[in-house]
Amino acid sequence: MTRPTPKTVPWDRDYWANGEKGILSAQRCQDCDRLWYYPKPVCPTCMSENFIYEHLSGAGEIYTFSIVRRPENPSFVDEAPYAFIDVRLDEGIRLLSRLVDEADAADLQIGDRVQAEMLPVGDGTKFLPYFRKVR
Amino acid sequence: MTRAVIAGAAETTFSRKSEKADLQFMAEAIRLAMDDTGIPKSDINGIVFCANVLPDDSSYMAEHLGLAVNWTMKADYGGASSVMSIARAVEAIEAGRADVVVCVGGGNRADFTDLHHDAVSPPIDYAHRSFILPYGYGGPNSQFGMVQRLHMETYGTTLEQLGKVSVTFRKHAALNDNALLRDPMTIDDYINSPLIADPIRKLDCVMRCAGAIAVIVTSEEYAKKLAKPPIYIGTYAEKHSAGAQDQEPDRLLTGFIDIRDQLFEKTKREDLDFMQLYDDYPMAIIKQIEDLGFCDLGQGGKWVEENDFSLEGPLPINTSGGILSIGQPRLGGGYIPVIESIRQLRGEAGPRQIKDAKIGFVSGIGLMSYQTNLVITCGMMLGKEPFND
Repeated sequence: MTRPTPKTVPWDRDYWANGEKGILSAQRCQDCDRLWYYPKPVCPTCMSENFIYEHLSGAGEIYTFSIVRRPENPSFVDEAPYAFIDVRLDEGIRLLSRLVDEADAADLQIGDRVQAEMLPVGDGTKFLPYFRKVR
Repeated sequence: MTRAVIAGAAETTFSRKSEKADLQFMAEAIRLAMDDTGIPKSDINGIVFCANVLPDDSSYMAEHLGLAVNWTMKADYGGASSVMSIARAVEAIEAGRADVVVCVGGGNRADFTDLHHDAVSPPIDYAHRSFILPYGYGGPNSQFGMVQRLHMETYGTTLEQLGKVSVTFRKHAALNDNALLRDPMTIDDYINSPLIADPIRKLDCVMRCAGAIAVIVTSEEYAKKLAKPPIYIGTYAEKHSAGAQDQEPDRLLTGFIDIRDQLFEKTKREDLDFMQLYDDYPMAIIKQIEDLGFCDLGQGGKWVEENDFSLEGPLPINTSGGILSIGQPRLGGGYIPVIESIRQLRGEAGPRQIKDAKIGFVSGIGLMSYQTNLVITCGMMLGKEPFND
């Protein structure tokens, strides 16, 4: 089984384009100012299609996490166990991710400060944020 | 207005391994439900399939079973599909679209893809597909692990409290010949079981199995001609995507918060003789106890610790062993709370019969959200006597 590569859909093109440049971004509604993650076809508050992908700081903290020991996809088994993290970014949105360095998982705690880094996933053509613990 | 009721229900034998395909299991459950109710096949004119990975559309599946029906649909609501299928059948009957509706779910294990004419992967939504799977998804276990860790950290919920849920249900399962996990279990067994998605352990996780359950819904008028008395349906409510509009939804809140006042407006919590709650994880029980309003938010663990919810207690929960000890026959798993309610209300529960059971509550929960908790929550009152409107 190969590692899945995210597939571009019409509303997330700019997200993947930003990722290639090493930039983590999220949609902000130009009508009601709502910010959200993951990409959605319309603003989840007012349903406007008038959004831009705003660059994010990538700074945040661990909201919660679990330690994955049995990945569903066998191609990840050699990396297990690894932390599956729910991060609250300073901009006030949350996203799911993993750690850049699994050594950070050893003493990981809810509330730990983390910083995003865009890394290639799947076939290497798409980039998603991973996080490093800020020590 | 026509009042819809449950005429009866049946389950196949559950097993860990089987060579049969989903439609064969569903057909067997339907045959058994026809036997339970005495309803002939020719009277069935509606069917709901709880199916999310079967390649065939619902009308084709009806055709494969030789059922010419006036109304059919697939229920694709994860673990909530079963209870929701009954709600949909009630709506169809009360609207006059059908008279006798079979609700069916189950099958073989989803990972046995060779049993289907075409392999269909489990349904993965856009968020999972592009924003979770590429990281190496640990399945629902990994998302429940996040919920459980946050609950333990925020409210001090303990492994002993979680373990009591599993141990209590296991005791009930010992009285159920069709439960796959009947060996006695201790809280230490729970705590010492191998970690799967910390803090989720092996004995937190529901076990997939093969089998199916069918429930037949019809009009009260039709049901009165049958040998066994009908089961009445009271208040029902459902919630999808709770928190979807919020910028920072709380991963510890479920949609039950939004529907609990409606659920317990006519039938009060203290009126219940039992509850059969969807239990894919002990944490799911603790969340339901608190979000359904049996205690304050965050106090579900404490409630479990302080209350006896076994067959001996004032409000028994999951009297047949729950899905945790019986096994999860695909989307038919959600009928386990329903069929046990029917047995209890009919007085057919044998060694685990609750004395004079008149009213019970069943719940359904389904799908894990990217940002919140459960995507779907629903609940339904079932009773021996008609509910007042």
